[in-house]
Formats: sequence, C-alpha cells, structure tokens
Amino acid sequence: MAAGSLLTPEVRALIGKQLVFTAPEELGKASIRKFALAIGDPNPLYADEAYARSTRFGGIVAPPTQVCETWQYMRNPIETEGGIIERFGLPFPHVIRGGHEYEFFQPVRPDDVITATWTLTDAYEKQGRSGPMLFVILEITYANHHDERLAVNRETLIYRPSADESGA
Amino acid sequence: MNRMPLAFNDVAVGEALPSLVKPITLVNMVVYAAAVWDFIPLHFDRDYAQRRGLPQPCVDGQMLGAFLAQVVTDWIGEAGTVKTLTFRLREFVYPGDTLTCKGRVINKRAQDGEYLLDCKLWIENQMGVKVVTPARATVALLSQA
Repeated sequence: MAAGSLLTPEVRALIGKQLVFTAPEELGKASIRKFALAIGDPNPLYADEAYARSTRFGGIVAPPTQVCETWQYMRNPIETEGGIIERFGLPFPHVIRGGHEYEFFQPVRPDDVITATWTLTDAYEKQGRSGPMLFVILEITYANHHDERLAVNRETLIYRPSADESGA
Repeated sequence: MNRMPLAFNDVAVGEALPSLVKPITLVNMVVYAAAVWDFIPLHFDRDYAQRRGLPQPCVDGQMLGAFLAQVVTDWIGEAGTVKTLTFRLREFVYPGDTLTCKGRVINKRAQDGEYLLDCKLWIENQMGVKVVTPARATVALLSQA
C-alpha cells in the first residue's frame, strides 16, 4: 500500500468534527459502585456514603477515570459494532487503543448529569514494522449540568490495515 | 483507609508507590464492559477476538488506566487528588494474566500555591513484560507538612 494512502481526503475532512452526547440521567451511586467493583477497588469513598461524608469530599465520588468512559452517556440499543468510529464517519472496520492523556478538574459526583463533547483533533499516518498505520486523535471534554468541567480525555486510536490482512 | 495523610514535605523523590496486583479474569472483564456500557465483543467474546486475530478477548485499555489511577489514590488517600494521568498501551492483556501496577515519585514541585508530585507509573504482566508504559501521573497534595 502506498504511503499516504490511509490519510485520504475523506479522513482529513473529518478533522475538527465534533459530536456531543448528554447523559439521560445523573451518573448515580449504583454506577459508581459498580465501576469500583469492576476494577476491584474496595475504597469506601466509592461505595459507603457515611464514610464518604466524613472525608474532605463530603460524599460519594466516582473513581477518577470513570467519567472518561463515553458509552454510558449515550442512549442506544446494545451495539456490538461501529461505536465512535462509525459515528465520526471514519472508514475503518476497527481500531485499537494507543493510549490516553487524562486531566481531572474536580471530583465527579453521583448527581452529575454529564455531557461528553468529542472532537476529532488530528489524524496522521506512520510507517510501522508491519505496514502503514493511521493515528486518530480524539479529545473529549466532560462537563456536568452546571457547565463545570470535570475532565478531558485525549485518546489515540490506531488503524492498522495490515492487521486485517493477517487473517483476522 | 484512615491513616496519616501524606504531606508534601514527607515525600522523597525516588520513593516507590505501593504496588497493586490485579489478577485478570474474563468475569471482571465482563463486569467492566457492563459497568461502562461498552458491548464490543473484543473484550469478552473468544470467537470474536479470534476473528480479529487475538488468542483471547483482550482487556479494555481504559480498565488499565483505572488500575493506574488506583495505584495513586490508594497511596494518597484523602491527602490530595490526581490531576493528570497519561499512559501508553503497549501489549494486549488477556484473562489469566496477573498484572502488577507500579509507580515511583520522580519530581516534587510547589507551583501556583499547589504542592505537586509527578509519578512515573507502569504495569507489568506475570512474565515481567511491561504492558503499559510509559505512564505518568501528577498529584496535587493538600498540605505541605
């Protein structure tokens, strides 16, 4: 595959595109407790209101990275394909996650109703050992219903067409 | 959880954060998928994962970020908050793996009235392979002393 062929005009035109999702309800204590259970973090700050009230946080807060999961804010049927790639109109069957840069501005609380604003900020091609790779950078800002900024998540997604050709 | 709060003056550059061990099972991968409403079968369906060229379902990269955050929050308790966390995902993680999540203080600085610690973090699997690296966290501590 010729160099430069992954960064097509179609992909380039998506740079700057923005998607916004607002949760239908507040995050809630149950979802916080379930997330803490899923990651195996027994910190009572996430599950015990009486304990949490005795701390400087004044009540239950979410584990720091929970806010950065965006599917929870979308009102969808169960989806097993597509996802954010499809919603942006990126012409890739699938991608892998390269990494994240999180910034946390304030504790996330059970009564926060969260809006996630996604921006496709960059796309560039690199040559890997097994062929060309396209890097897509997404920046997501999470805010609550008071317009207070909760967090920012810059994530790198990687599309490798050579992975498709390996028999996957 | 209720112990002496960490104070900026007490922290030494080079100090190791207590490490955190996470055994990975398909069950906790399923619970994570449900908790974050992400139903992409790559993270829980063996047939789907194998069609995508992986030997088994793989752990969602953001779950590994949550483990790194816990290394820091377990250490600082109520004494501060995590301001930033960055991490690069290197290798796939599968059910049956046991991860050790580690950290070390690499810098301390007072800036704009805040007491900041910069930590280097990483995650190794049971074979000593670094599955997440490099990673960094910046913590703001409430008090100097």
